[in-house]
Amino acid sequence: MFIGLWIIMFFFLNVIPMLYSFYLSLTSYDGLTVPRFIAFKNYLTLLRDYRFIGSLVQTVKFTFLNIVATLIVSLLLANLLNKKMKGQLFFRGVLFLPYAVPVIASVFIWKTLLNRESGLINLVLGMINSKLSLNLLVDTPMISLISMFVWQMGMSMVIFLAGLQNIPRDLIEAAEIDGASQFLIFRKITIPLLSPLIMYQVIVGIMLSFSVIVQPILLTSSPGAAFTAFLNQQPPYQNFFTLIFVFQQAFTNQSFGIAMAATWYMILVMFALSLILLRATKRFVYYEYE
Amino acid sequence: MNTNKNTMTSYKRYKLKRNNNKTFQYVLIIIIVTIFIIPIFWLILSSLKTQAEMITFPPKFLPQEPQFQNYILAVTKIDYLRYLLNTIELSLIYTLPGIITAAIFGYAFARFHAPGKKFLFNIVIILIMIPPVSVLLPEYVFFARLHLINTYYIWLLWGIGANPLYIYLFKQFFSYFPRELEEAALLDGCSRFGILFRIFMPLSKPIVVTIFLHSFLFVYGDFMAPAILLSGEKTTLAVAMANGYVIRNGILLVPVLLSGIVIYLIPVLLIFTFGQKYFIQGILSSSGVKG
Repeated sequence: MFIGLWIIMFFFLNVIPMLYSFYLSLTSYDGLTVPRFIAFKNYLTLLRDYRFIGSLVQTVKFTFLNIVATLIVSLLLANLLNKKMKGQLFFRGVLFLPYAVPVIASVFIWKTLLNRESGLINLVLGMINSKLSLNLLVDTPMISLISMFVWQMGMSMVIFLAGLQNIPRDLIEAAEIDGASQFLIFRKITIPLLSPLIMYQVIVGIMLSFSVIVQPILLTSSPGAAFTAFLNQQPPYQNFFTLIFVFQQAFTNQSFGIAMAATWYMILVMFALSLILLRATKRFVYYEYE
Repeated sequence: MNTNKNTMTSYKRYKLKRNNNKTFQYVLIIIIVTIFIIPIFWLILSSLKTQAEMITFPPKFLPQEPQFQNYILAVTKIDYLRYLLNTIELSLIYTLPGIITAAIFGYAFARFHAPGKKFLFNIVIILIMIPPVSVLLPEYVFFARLHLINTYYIWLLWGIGANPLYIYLFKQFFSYFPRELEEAALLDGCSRFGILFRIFMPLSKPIVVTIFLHSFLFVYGDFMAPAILLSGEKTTLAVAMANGYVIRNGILLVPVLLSGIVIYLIPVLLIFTFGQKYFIQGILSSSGVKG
């Protein structure tokens, strides 16, 4: 009975909206008039839209770089924290802290940090040489964006840390006494034992990277003074992701049909990437309970 | 004898190496922690600067004269208290029903046998991984159809629908309870709901705290959903701050905004400091690692 209740809520909140959105993606709905059925025309239009294709390419690129950077940093930090030391809990707390910082705060923190005029980076560079200055937000928008996500990697670090603590200590100590270098231990013991967790993080990372929208818009658009409504701001093309395209089609252009079709393309790509990865890495991932 | 001595020295060298490593580790971790904490300090420093200091090129480390009036301006330029109360109200509307329904569904998944339960539970797990933002637009259109845009009922519905993560957490937690516990209660004539709310819920306080904190912070920090679904005086603090600190010619008052953000962060930091244990526990169980 209770499960039945959940099924009802699940249908009401997930299945029906998704089906309805699929139906709308087949129409020319503009939010005001009655939707008119036009079959797969929206999907075909999108395939010829270079902005949409470009946004997909950028999203995939961002997803890849973001996952690689976040996982490397969080894995190394988790490895460092896993050593016996005083104040480990405190260090873990501080490194985890940025993860709890809400989107809007982290965006503006990062904006002030990297900004040409008010940024700490330029302050440090200026102390070295007064002519040195970088305009990271304008010149390398995607790297700026990724650096923010690396700052907020707390969650994956904590997961890796727990995974590391489940690795039996004697295994590593035995290898140490046998003279294995830290790097060798890391590569031959740590990575294989953590591979299921890494896989989990990659899949979650794909989902999360595809759904990034607030950060690129607020972080890298409108370097000038004028501050317009949130969705009307145009991020540079490096950070113009599919979800931004979707929302701008829906709310700025009033073409919900196109937006829905783009959403479905995005979901398709997201799941295809995850499935391909799961298939391709089956051989390398070590599952203990199979 | 000789070989014994050799192994001794090699062991000593091993220990020495370990000690050197130790110092290096501490230095390294302190440097990294400093780097991670710097952005927060920079936020506080910048919030005390003047608008002019923020937009002139060679950046300065300290503000010439700390501008504490930025903070006063931050809470008076927009109706800070109202938006804060809005945010808290919205969080509670989502969180409180959410905990109850998630407990009911978790209990159902843990204890009842139904055809296709495994399949349904797999759907729950997949739903955990799908971020809400990616399906926000379909939901927007759906809610617009129901004329629910710009009301808090959406959050109530989301709460009743229960976050899949919380269903999962409750299910895992309830699975560890011995069956004898509820069998005894059933014999005494306790209803299923009675078992859940009189016996199971009081026993699972840590998980309730975890979910409460997690879900509260989730709504408190959310930007996209209130930005799309709410407008005017009903929005949350996050949206109000992003749009509110603008003067007539469209210039954003950056230091005032930063002051607003500092105040906005205080509850988060408090919850984080005191509830970190619960917070981390929740994340760990969601990824299937035992902490």
